[in-house]
Amino acid sequence: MPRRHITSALLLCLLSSISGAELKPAPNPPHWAFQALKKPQPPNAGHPVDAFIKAKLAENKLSLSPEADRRTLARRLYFDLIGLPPSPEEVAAFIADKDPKAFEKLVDKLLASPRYGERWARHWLDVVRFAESNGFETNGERKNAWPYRDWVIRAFNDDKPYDHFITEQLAGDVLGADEATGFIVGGATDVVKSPDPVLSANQRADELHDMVSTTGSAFLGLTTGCARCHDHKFDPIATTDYYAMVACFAGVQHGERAVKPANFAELQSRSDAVRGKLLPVERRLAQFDPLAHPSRTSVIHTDDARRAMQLVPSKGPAANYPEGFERGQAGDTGNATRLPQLGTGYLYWNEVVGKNVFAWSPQVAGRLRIWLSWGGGYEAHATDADYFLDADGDAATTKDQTQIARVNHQKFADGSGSVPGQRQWSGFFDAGIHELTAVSKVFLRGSASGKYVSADVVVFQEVRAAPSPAPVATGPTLRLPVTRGKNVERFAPVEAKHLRFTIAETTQLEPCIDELEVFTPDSTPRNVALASAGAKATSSGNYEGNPYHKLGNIHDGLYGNERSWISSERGKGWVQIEFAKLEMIDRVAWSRDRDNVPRYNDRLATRYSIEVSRDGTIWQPVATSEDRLAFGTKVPGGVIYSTAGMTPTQAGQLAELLATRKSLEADITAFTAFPVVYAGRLVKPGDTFRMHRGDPMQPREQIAPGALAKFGRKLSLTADAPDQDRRLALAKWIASPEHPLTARVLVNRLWHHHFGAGIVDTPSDFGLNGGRPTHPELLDWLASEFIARGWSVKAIHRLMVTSATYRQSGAAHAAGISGDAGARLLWRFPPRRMEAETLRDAMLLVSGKLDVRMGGPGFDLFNPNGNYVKVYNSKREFGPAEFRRMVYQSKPRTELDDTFGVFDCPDAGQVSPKRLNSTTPLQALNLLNSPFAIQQSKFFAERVESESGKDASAQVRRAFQIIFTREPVADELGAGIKLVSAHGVAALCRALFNTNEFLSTH
Amino acid sequence: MNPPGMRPLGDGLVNRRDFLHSGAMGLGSVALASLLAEQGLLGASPIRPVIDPSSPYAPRPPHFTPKARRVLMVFCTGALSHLDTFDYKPALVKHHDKPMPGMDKLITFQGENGNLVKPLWEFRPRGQCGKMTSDLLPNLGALADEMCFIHSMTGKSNTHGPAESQMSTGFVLDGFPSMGAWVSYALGSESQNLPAYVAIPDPRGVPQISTRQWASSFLPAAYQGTPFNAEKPIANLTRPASISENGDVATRDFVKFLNERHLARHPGDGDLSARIASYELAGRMQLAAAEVGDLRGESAATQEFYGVNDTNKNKAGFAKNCLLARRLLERGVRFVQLFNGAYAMGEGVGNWDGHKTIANQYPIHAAILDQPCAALLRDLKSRGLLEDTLVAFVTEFGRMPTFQKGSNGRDHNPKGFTVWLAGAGVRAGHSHGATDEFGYQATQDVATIYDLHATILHLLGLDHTRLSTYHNGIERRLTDVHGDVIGPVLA
Repeated sequence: MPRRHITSALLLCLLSSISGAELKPAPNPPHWAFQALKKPQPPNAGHPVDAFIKAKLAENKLSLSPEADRRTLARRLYFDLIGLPPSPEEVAAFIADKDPKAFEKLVDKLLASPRYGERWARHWLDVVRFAESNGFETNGERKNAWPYRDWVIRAFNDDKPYDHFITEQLAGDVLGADEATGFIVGGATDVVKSPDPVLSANQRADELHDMVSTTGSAFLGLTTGCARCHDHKFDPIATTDYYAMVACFAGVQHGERAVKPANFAELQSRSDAVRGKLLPVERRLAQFDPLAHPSRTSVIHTDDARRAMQLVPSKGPAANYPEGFERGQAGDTGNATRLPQLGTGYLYWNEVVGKNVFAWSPQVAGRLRIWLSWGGGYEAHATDADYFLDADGDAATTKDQTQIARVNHQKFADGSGSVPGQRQWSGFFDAGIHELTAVSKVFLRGSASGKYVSADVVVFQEVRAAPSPAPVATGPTLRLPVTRGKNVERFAPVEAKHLRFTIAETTQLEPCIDELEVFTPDSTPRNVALASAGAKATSSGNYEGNPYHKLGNIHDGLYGNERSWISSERGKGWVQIEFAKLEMIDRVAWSRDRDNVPRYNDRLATRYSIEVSRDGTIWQPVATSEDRLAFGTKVPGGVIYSTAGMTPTQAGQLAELLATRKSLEADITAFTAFPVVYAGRLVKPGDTFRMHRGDPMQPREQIAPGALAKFGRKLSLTADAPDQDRRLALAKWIASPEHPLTARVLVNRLWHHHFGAGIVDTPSDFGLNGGRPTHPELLDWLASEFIARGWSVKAIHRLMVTSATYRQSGAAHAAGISGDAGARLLWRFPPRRMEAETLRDAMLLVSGKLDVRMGGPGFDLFNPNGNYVKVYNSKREFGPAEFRRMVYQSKPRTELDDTFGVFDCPDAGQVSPKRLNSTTPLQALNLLNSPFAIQQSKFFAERVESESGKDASAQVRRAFQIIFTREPVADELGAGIKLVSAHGVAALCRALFNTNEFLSTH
Repeated sequence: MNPPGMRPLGDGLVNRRDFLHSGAMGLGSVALASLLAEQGLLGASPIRPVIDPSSPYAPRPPHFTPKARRVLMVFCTGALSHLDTFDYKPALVKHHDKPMPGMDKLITFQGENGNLVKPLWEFRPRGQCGKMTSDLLPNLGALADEMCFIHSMTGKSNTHGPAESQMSTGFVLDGFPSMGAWVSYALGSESQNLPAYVAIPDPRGVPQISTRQWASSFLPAAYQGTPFNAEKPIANLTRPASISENGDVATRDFVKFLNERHLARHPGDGDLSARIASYELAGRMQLAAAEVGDLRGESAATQEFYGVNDTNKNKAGFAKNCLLARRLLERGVRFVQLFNGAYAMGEGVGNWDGHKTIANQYPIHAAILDQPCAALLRDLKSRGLLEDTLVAFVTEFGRMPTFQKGSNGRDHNPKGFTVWLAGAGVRAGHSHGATDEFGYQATQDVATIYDLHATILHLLGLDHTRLSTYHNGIERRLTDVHGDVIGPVLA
């Protein structure tokens, strides 16, 4: 065999190409894998695969081995193509088939089997690090990730052309294959979020890194991830190329999205029609949005440490209201004339005649209307609970005390309703308008009857104007608590050119607003705050922690944390919008992280005021946070409509509108409640920057989406290209017949699985640091053929497995071993051990228990638990639910089953282009002693007994037939009978599962 | 070429260098960089150990003469506060309840911080060296003369999962081999009857990142940590009760008989004989693992010394694990990873994550850790094992010198924390590096986790820049492309 050493000239050339600061590959000749694909002529006639292989063997004075016997061939082909052993009957039929095309027929039969897709999908899932949990600390489940796995199985079974297979995984949302984009988000994501912007930026950068690296390694066989911090050390991949690919994925976030069903178009047109009806309803309802009431309001719950106090200890902890949606119950959403349930449970006292038991101290001076509430529903409650206002707040001085109310604590605030004998919240009772000083208090006093008095939330609300003679309000003017999502501020129409939003307090840290919208009162309101409408923004100061939170984000029309403004100061700051011209406005909408998945609640403004001005000098408040319920207050139904000042006709209209909206929304939900799939949330992409040394806190120039500049066609997109365009363009760039790598990489993966090692033995690295092809012409011929045959994967399988190279014997001989021990030149068929999944599947098939149901949610090999950090404890008992093929295991990331995990099963922490094949004593212990192995050997024994009767000799023969598809030879039979006679058939079956003959294919 | 240990059946018969030169592919199949390195033309060349598949635990030579032959890693999960244990900061006492300069701009994992808070336990000098350590861990403190503290540790992540990954695997991302896997891949083991690498989970449960702590990832499965502890033996170690001893023996004899017949029909396949050997090893492991896990042979005095019979169930469990660790090391297991603390179970329950009320939470954990861990160290010393065993006491990161805003606990702090080494080749009674006056950031002789790993490998006679494996296009190392041996901590 010729020895080829590196010549010093070649070495110098190589060294010059990879040493020095700027590592650039030698331009001439280009690296073999980066050259355009040319179809070579097979060196001889006959099967082209064999022609190439034989020529190389001949150069090395080797030759193909003779064809393997049919039994061996059948087992080899079954395990290889469908991952399951043949039955003795199937082998017998194949041996008996005299048709010269018998082998080809078997190949076609197996390629047509649904089991084929299950087998080969597993190979692909390894390459793309697919798992059904998030990884990192919490490693929670992704319950809806399985549709991607099913899509891969279907793609193989349907022989989906590989170019489509690629494009759908990158842009399936455009191509009617939503679940396919599970590929992009198949990797780990850290869901432990923090207010620390450095951590958040690193988490996102790691997600994008995973997407770029996996795309590069899976489809292109390139280590694109190496260019994150510096230009690639070996391959022509610049850091700017890396960030161009990052930009392609900038609109993809980890998470679920709804998937379009087959009748999507119909459903969409129906839901659009309903939306059309909903729009005017929403507009009319908006007129009932409670007006912001920029006056002082104190909402005091009984557990308010500063403003509420128990003077006599309550008889018990706060009594909660019963579940339910009736008036007074915990879930009451209220209606046009009644506020929703705002009570948080009541405190209660009896036998406290004439004693002050509870005090409220609003600490607000002025003319305030006082709204009382209590818990009722029982005959044991007082009908004469008294409330006193104490002007100086000192209970000892009584002259300044005035009774403000005597109410019935059995009934609702308006005195209506029955006394049902269960708890109910009263709603608010209007105790009138009173003058208060900053120290004034309201006391609840024990009833003369000694019966129970109770206390729940109380509201003090400032009244500025003289009380109007208009209808008395049915409750205080309260608005919903602020949320991270959309908050609406409605006010009387006012003409303004400036609007200022001033923040005085946040949930935590510097305030953040992702969008501030200001609307006109038109029938089709316009947002006059938009930069695109000519508005300008100024602020008290902008956050300098990272580059994302620019002032311009506040009126760019885009939502979400990534498109937000943050103030430069802790807990405060202001932002001001100047409209293009003087505008009539009546509404502001703003949010902190208006995204469809709950994420950031920190930095939310909880105390603020909004003022407007015509000239930028004289300002007038239009809304404040004063009348909002405290952040976090639960409001059943999530809406509050005030009926204050409303006529009965208007109240009736409101009720009707609310009912109409509810029913229309229910219709829309019905038309749009599509199944969700863990296939990525798609959003408008933000800007991408090159990060110096890969550090997301060191952004440099902006980078537009693109692909690798030195490969294939040039791909140019604009920096503001929509998300889908980016991914689709990248997909088409990869899935192109002109791309030098795409087809080569895939045919090499197929070869790798058929022959145990690829023509290039580094299947995900075709770069300068990867392996060199043993048969470069064969690889190029196969790749060309692959494209010529319409990217048909099954066609290439057929080409490979029908070759004499594949069909030759696996027997070793001295010449081969001494010349090419690893059989990389294929002088024999290289034997190998089963992978973990094949082993488990084969045991189930042999035992007669394999359930071949396809698709759907996977089965779990771990005991369920709901910890914040999910704990994975392997199951020790198995039933029919776990008897499906292992590709249907709900596969957690980085957690391996304690029986099969030690068989080098990849854990999806990183991609796994090829599996290891190690041998450990723990494998032996697991196959001997694990509950699964013991259970399956019993089932196998039951099957043997039922198929062969009670005779030990027949049992041993049948067991050998099933598991090895051969008869035992005489001494095997003798030893087997001895074992069965002494210890039963199950002992025999347990032994057979542990044999090398079962575990390996030849 | 396939790295050793990853080859398909059959190519176990040639040695790597012959294969390299006689391979018909010439340049083919050999990674360019590794080839050039092989020729000594790229500086340090990667070393992939040559592994006999039939004997994956066989001892393999280190790169140079080692100081340590085995490693005990004690891993405190949840992040143990350096400020309340080993890193004495008088200025922190002095400035107690005052704002830390620059703190107004600071955002840590949980958000804003309050004022500086002095250590919650008194510090006093201990040992001949007079090292100041706190009353929280008095038994460990008393062993200060054995320890070499590194006070200037820094990590890359301030969240538990990635930080734990980095300490154990060198990477903050999932999916990289743990240090124990690297060490047993490189060196095999001195015990042929026990796994080369044993992980001992805390009696309360697995650590925060669970099995990733001891994963082999893209190294062969033979080198993954085998998890077991004093209360939970190796999974599937023993024959099930439903199978008689005679039946078990007969079954295994039959397997052996069939495998030998099969091998005779397929001569020259190394992996077939490797698997036959693995059944013999499994048989020996059943006996050895049962023996090592049986603590009844230990004297009553030893059991008492460790705290095995303590009424605190968690302490007794951890004490048994400490005793188990010594027995494993004594029998030649290469790498033992002993966990103190589990995953997040609520503060004051599972681990050292003291965000809320550290004054109440830490004594609970200290009571579990202190006596048993100190007993283990003393026992290793008295048996002479400390002479060639390296002990590394580590955690995820440190904690803040401040309390979190509105809370009585300390937030995460990867900018400065303490680990200590003891035993083989370590400069005992020494402190290396320092944090600033408040213990917030490492300022003097700043050390990374890569440096710590490089140092541990160095003590084992391994060059961290050369020990490698090929995975997915990259020659991978424990220390990525970083790390320097911390010279001053070496004896």
